Amino acid sequence: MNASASAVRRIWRTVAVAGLAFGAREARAQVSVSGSPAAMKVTMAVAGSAPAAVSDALTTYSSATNPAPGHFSITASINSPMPAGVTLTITLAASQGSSAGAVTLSTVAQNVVTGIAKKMNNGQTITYNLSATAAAGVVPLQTRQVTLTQISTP
Amino acid sequence: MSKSTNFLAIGALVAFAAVNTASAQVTQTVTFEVTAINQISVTGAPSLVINTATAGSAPTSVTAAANSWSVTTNQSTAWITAIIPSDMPAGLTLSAILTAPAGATSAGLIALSTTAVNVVTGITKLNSAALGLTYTLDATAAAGVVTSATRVVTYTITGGV
Repeated sequence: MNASASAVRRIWRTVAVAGLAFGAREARAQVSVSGSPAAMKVTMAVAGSAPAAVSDALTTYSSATNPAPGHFSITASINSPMPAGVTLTITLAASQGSSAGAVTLSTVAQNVVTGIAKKMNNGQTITYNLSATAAAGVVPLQTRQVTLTQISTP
Repeated sequence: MSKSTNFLAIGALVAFAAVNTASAQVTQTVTFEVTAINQISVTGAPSLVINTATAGSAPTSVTAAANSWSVTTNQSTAWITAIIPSDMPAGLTLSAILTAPAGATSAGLIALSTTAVNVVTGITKLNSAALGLTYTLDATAAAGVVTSATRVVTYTITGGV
């Protein structure tokens, strides 16, 4: 076996090992959701008060994360700003780590769960809350894509 | 040469793995809407009794100011009307004045009848609570003695645009 063949073999071995490692890490870094929430509509108010907010807590997320070493966090963002006077918040329950509570969604990713060091129980509740001021006016039906991103942290 | 190729490959793969395992994403679609909202409420059930006069003048009018109204609208130029279900006895006038919320206009003290009348106009995208609501009862001497009676005053908010 000449030096060149040996080098090629070492490269492929490295590729295989790294690929396995990559695959293993990739499998650990999975987050999934049960679906999208039903349409949320602000339709009522108590006279003298702002329109009544509405909530949806019927979807869940699961994280296949088995972090070792380090921790994972989950961030959330939306693909475009909400209309003026309309606020969408998200709350992720967390059986591991720490939930940030209700986080107002914007186009800037924000932490919603941090410090995930162990595998999270499946089916953690996602709660959305939609609120509007009277000044927001009538807002026609529309959608926003909410992106949950699981990131590794030291 | 061979060793450095190997290191390069390892370095590249480690970097690749680091980049690709740093995050995992999933999306949900949130659908939302805010419909037209127009709500009004009032508090108070005033009782107005005319029982005196200054000699030479009409019976003394009475007012009841311990009432209030509240409003929420997310539309522009909404307005409020008032109406009573049956006419007042001859010689008696029941009037109401509503304090307007910011930016809106009150019609001032206005007599109530079986025809709806605007009492506040130009209410635009606001919520305002505990606004003033005052009733006034006037009577002429010709009205005579009027036994106790009631009128239900109905306020209606109509959305603008």
